Amino acid sequence: MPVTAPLRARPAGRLGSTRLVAAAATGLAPLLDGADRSGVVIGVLSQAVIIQISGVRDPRVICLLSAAASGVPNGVRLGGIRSMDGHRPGDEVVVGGGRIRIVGWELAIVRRWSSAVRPIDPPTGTTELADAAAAARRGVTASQLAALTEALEHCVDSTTEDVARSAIDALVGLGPGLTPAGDDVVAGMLTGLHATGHAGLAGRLGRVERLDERTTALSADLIRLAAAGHAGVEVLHLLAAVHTRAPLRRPIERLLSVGHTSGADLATGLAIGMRVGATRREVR
Amino acid sequence: MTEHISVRRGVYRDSVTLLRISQAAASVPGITAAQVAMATPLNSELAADLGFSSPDGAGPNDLMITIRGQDDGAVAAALAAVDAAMTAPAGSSSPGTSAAPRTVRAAAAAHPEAPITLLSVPGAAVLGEALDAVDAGRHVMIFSDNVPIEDELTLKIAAAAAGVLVLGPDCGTAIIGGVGLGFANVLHTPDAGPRVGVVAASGTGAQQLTCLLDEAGVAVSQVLGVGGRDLSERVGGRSAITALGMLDADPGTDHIVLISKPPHPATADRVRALAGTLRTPVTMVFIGADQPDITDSVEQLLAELGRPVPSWRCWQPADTARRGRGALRGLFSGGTLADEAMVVISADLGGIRSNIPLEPALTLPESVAGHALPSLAGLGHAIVDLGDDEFTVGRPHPMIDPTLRLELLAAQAADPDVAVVLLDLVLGHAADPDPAASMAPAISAAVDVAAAAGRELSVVVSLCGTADDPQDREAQAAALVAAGAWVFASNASAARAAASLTGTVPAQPSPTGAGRPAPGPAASAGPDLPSATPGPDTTMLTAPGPVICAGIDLLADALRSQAVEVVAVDYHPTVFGTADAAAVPAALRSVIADSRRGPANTLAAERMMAVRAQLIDVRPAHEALGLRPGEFCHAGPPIAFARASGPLRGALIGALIFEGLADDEAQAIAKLESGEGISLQPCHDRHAVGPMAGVISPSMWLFELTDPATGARSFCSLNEGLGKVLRYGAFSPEVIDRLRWMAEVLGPALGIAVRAAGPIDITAIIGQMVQMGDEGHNRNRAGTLMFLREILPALIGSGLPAADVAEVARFVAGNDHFFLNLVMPTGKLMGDAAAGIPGSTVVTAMCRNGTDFGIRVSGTDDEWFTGPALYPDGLFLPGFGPDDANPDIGDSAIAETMGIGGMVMATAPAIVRFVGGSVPDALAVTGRMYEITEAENSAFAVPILEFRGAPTAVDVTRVLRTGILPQINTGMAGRVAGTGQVGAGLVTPPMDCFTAAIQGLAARVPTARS
Repeated sequence: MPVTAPLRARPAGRLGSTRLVAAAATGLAPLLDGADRSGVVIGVLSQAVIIQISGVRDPRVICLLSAAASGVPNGVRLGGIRSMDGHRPGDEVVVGGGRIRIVGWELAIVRRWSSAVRPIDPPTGTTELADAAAAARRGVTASQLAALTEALEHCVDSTTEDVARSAIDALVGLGPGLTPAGDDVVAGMLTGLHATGHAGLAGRLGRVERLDERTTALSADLIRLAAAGHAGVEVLHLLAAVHTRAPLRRPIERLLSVGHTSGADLATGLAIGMRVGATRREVR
Repeated sequence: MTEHISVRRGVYRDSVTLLRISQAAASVPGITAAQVAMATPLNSELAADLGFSSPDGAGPNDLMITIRGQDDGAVAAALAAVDAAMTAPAGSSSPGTSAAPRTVRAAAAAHPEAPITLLSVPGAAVLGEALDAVDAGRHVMIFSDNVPIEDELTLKIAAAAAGVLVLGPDCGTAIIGGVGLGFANVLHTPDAGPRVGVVAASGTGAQQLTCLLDEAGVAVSQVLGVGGRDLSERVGGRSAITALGMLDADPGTDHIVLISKPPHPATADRVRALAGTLRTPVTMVFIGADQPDITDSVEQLLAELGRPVPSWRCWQPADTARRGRGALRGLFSGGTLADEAMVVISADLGGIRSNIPLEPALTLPESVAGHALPSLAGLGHAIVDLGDDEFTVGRPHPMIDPTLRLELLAAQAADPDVAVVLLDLVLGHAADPDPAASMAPAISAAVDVAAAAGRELSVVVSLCGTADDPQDREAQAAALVAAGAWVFASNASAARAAASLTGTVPAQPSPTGAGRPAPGPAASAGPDLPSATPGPDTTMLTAPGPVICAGIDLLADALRSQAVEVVAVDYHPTVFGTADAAAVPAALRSVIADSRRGPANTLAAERMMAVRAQLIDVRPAHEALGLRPGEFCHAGPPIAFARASGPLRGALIGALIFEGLADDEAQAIAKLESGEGISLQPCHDRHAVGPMAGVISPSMWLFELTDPATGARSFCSLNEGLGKVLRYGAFSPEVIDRLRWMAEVLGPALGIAVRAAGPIDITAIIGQMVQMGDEGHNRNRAGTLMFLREILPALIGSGLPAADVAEVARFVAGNDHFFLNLVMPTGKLMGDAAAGIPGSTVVTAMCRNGTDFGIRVSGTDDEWFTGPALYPDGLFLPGFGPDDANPDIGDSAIAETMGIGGMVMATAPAIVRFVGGSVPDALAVTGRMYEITEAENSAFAVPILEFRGAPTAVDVTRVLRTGILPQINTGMAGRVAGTGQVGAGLVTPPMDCFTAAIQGLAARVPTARS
């Protein structure tokens, strides 16, 4: 993420405001539909603007996405916008009442797309997924993954859940980038548990202590959303294909193409979560 | 009063755009009537109803402008408004962006991430565009109506093989992954609670069902419309079965509802059997006699889902005492809503006359149904579905354009028999943005007209919409109620209320419809079927991504307003001459539907591109072709001397003199006219080609090429250079002297050199020249120099006199077009390789004799399809002008047949000015050629297009679908025999060649199809 020296904050609505329509993930509903809240642009990528909202509980980050960006579960997709030029960190944002106001734009949320993870049929293809993910570059060691898998497999009560939580703790914030590799593995794993009917366990394991101090705001938000059962479009496409028993090659390729290595790390976590989740007896 | 009537031939705009243009003209001050519409029979009749005389000879492909105003000034202003609205740029392509795709194939190729195509092109054009989508592996929603059922079946069979879903035809509504396509209500879809997926063979039925579910707080995951005919016996539920499988595979769908008019029993059994195998429970809702109405079915479903039944919304006028006595007239825009109303009402009132009657005996009289404005006077209770095909040819759907319905409403108000008018009003995306704005005053006026005549007229509206629809449902209802209407969210309740208001039934209006005996919706049951095979790609159900749109802009705009990325296809139909107006589209549809076409064209293109042309010899024609004295070959399709143009006549005269068969022009002409001892035939018939006049006589020397893989041969004369030359029709002594030198020195010398150098790979040289600025037709400079490089060592080592070698080298190097005569026989080998494949629509030869342009097509083998050769458009040599030019001539269009020449104009920027164009023009031309070709030949790559392969294998069906003709670069010959070259430019074949070819191809389509 290009972190430039903070420029003078530009208030929302300055430079005129072009009205645009946008489609938001359902995971953002509480934030978008509520009263006006202020936020600030914390990152600008070529295809996304990352906004942090202050003074609220989850979720606390909104990503404005161009047509080509991957579909994160805190995303707001803008119709017909191909570049995020003109925005910069520090710009002020106002969110609420189904609208987002930012320098130059007023976005009306006209559509919601579901980011909810739904239980799927007993998963197949986790090996294919894990193999494909392993082949892609990632920043989490095999031993860390083995520790996570083992802790999950033995997770039956509050004591063993603590063990699993420490395996997760070991991954949070691990690796460089906007969404560190360890975080992506954790988010993928939580999604895998949701998809196999373990929403309760995923919710408990996803409550990571001091999360905001240990990783980026975006990544923390994505872990919280994963724990609450929300995932990005590429993950949802893959889960739908698993449920349908359709060929997984294309959805896996699409997932692996997310971010730099984020897709591979998400896939790694997803394979672990689904495999462990499918063999656990306790089903919600 | 001033009237204006005009017809613009072959100008096409979609019906919704025309509605906007009409409104622009009508809003000009002083204008009393304005209609801008395609001159369909219905629209011509509407114009006649407005008092305009029908313009002569106008047909459905012509634009008809009818305006009436107070004075000339007003009419002139209205015409100016029409012109301004017509010339407003369509689509959103801005400078610097590449041209919009003209077909769905091109759009799909450019956007692999777009899973759905939305078609609203005219019904007869649907098959080609929809098959493009299916062939590219995309789901396709067909909003268009008037699609022949044969086409529907062809498409659905192809879709099943490709693993994609066809929604429609006549699919008015779909909701996929939260995106509304076509007419779609804005549904509130909470993540919590059960989620119902809908498979709909009925558009407004699905809208009614989902609006009621939405009112009850139940989330609707998807609505997949399959078209009203899908569950017929003939179509067999093909799309419904695929759609059920997709919803079963959708983790976001917990319960499936199939809604349809009663299906054919055999189809119903098939669908039930499949439903029984699914993991997701399926409820069938059939609308018809002896079936529960939609509202009852929704209530039953809510009970199954454990959800409370809300009290369905109804809005009543302040004065509810009004009660006339008389007939009920329903004016509907939704077919299923009309159908349901008839079922409900006929239970109380008996038979209802209709254009979509419950039983044939109730059909509206022929004289009523065939008219633009049906008069219902004297028919008793009647319900008209104005959204039916007969009312929508060349007109927008009544949900978009209320005109027809409001006129009918006024007519009912004036009819003394009528006591009640029942209307439906459907809200949502793509529908009229403020329908009450026109409907409420019309209702008010109707009530007043009746009151003035001492009658009481009741108006009941069935309002199908949700709280989140863009029209603001509450405001719409309030406006209608204020105008005196009863408004019901439940269509069945509206129908019941309307029946009771006729004063002939005792029952009170029942706003909820509760309390009626309701047999439960048919639960899914049936024999076990093998469980569904892995279904089609369902990723669109999660998030649909960009949508490819071809047809009316309104539907694309409705998507954009939902923040959906639209890939717009710049579709417009091709206009054919009046003689072909009916036969050509029918032939085209039949050829497109031929299942042999796809594989046959693939094979034709593969064979074409597999050719590796090798130059193996240079020999005289009497040896190479077996030409005997008096036998002459010429360019183009067959022609008799009497019809020959100037250049061909000149070349034949010169050839007779060259062969010693005549001493001068007069003798030659006498011989040619008498025909004695002279025979003419196309070069093509002897696997040969010749540029311009293309005359080959026995003593001329020819290049001989072969494709080693097949052993096929092709031949071409040696190029004489530019200026006064035989091929341009010149026959002066210098021309004859040059031909003699070519036969005595050049030919033999090249023969020795070629045989010594060994086979020369001409295909390889062409591949290089195309990357060096030659397009291989009007520029051959790089090719010529590379060829000279290949043969020069062998030529020098040949032992021939040094003076001859020097002269040969000077001649070849001094003629930039020398290599054209090696490109051409390569093209001939490629065209011949693709010939004779049954079902293939690939063009294997294009050529002209100066009078006719002729093409050959693979599937019709050596049959010629001809039309008049056109005049090239370009630049003239000094001293010449357009009057000096002959129509297009020569076999050299074999270069375009093989995919180069004008087809790759983009690769030859150096000559764009020579043919009267610019570099951007050249890029656009080549870009356009990909729309009409089957394949891209990587052996001939165009660097400026990122080394994209040359557009190869012209497809007759795509030429006719797009109206884009192959672009040919050509030289221009003088009109008068003996003149020589006068210029160079661009030309196309006449469309007649392709309209003739499609009819020839259609005649060979096997009649028995699956």
